[in-house]
Amino acid sequence: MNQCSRESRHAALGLIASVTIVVLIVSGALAADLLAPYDPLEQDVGRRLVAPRAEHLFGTDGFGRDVFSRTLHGGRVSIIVALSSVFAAGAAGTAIGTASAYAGGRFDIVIQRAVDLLLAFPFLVMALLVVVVFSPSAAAVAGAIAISLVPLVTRVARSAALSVVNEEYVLVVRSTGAGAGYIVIRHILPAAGPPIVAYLATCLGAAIGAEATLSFLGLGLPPPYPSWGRMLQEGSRAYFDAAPWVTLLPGIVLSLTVVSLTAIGDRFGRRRMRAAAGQCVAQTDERP
Amino acid sequence: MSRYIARRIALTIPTAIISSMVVFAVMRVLPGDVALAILADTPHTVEMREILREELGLNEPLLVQYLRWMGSIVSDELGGRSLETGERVRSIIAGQISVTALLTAYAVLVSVAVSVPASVLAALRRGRWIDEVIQTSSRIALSVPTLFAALLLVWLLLRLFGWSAPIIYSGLVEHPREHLEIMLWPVVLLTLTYAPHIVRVTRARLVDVLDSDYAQSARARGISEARVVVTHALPNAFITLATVVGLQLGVLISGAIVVEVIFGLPGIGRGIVRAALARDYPVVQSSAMVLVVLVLLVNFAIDIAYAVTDPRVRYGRRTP
Repeated sequence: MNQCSRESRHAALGLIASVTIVVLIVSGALAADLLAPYDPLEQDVGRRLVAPRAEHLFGTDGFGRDVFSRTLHGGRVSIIVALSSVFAAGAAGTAIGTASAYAGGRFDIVIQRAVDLLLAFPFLVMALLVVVVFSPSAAAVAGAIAISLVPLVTRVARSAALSVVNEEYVLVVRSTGAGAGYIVIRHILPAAGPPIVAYLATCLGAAIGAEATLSFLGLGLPPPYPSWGRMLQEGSRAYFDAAPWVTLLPGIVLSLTVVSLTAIGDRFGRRRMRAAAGQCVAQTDERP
Repeated sequence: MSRYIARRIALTIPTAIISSMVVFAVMRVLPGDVALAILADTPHTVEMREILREELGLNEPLLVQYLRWMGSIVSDELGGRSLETGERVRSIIAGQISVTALLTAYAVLVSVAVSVPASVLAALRRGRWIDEVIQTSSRIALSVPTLFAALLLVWLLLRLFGWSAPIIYSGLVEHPREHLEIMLWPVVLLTLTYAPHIVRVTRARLVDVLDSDYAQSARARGISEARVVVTHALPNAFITLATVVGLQLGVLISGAIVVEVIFGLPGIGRGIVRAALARDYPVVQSSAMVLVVLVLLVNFAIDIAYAVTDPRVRYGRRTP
């Protein structure tokens, strides 16, 4: 039991740190208009590639633009795109997954096979395929990421719902003749929802990473507005050696966000399992 | 055994065919317009768009288009010709496939070689500081975006050794030394993102086995801990390890695309990104297909490996 309490203390510290980081970065990015000290697009050729200092926390880039302001504004673009893709994928995946678990039978088998098949597509390959068909836009990127996420969310939602559909209280409601939609929304989702939401936190991290990767590859959002991926691309192509801060500082902010979101998703997913088992379970007993 | 293999083949081929339909459907049935996407950056008229559609065969019925693509894969022109260079897609991909295949194969081998000892160490010292270090570092490593890890590594190499990505790629057969030098850092990077997945799952499995009754009874018979690990724990962890290698292969391939671009390796990953930027959709769709088939083939090989190591799978008593 001693081991157990030490683990949960570590876990609590990690969780507090992750939540703090995510709240700081996300609120900073969403309030970019208020917080950014400079206009992210304003060029000042006289102040090119200034190293980080008090008036330019993250330095300036090759056009003399303030990298800190661009990181805030870029974060807003990245986070909004990622949030909308996770929202869409979460809604679609939860609907398909719970329906599949509730209906069972042939429908369930078809959905499972389809999910297995789509999971053979590497995440980036699927996103790339979708993005190519559309002209570059925020909506196309969000859609591409959402489509790549749907099979993953579906699988998690299905297994979460599956653990509930045969509970006695569900059978009782069923025996009263309640409709399938009512049962799923009022009785299954409240029980199956929390692990799905925890998983969506991990998905949000993946979506932010995917947006950055697509934009870095030149397949993401069009100029002029910065996104984290575009900043990494511009910085690493033109003056990586002379001014690494232009690339690395936004990169660190990006990584902190993704790592913290993944940690939060992991932690909550595990806590639900622990509560379900009614005991302290070793830290790594979940399997991907 | 041969019946088992035949059944696996009979499952893999339809999966590959349906995957090709998915690729095709994404490219054609989604509301986006390939012709519009190609012309997006240039001023154009509706007539120009129509002419382009006609040229690309986009006005034909979808089934005809799909069968033509499939036909060109079966005959010797994988997916027709590149819109950009007019080169045969097959010869483009033939030049790239060995780079991607070798890169991912090295990454899998190195990852397994690193993560098995790490998992054994963590499982034997479970709850101690070394276990905490291995678990925490693998949890962080697996969530850092490959993109940032790659850029950070490039910068460090640049700063420390004045290193920069080689411009010319060397094949394994012609210049083995140069080839390994070029592959070294990309493989290190992919291992960093892939091995943690293996460690996480393998460690958990090893802990389960080491705590099991039969491991206890082996110890009670005076068998050394080392032998318990080698004869009981590791063979049992193998299936788990193979499963996670197959499951996370997509992660590895996505990582390989990023790494090929950043390190300038002329593989399918860099090829598909270039083609996507040029809206060269015959190359994009065939390259995507090849990457998906790569994933399916590795999973097929893993299924066979299950059957070789576990007789229950062979006789259909247990599905992996």
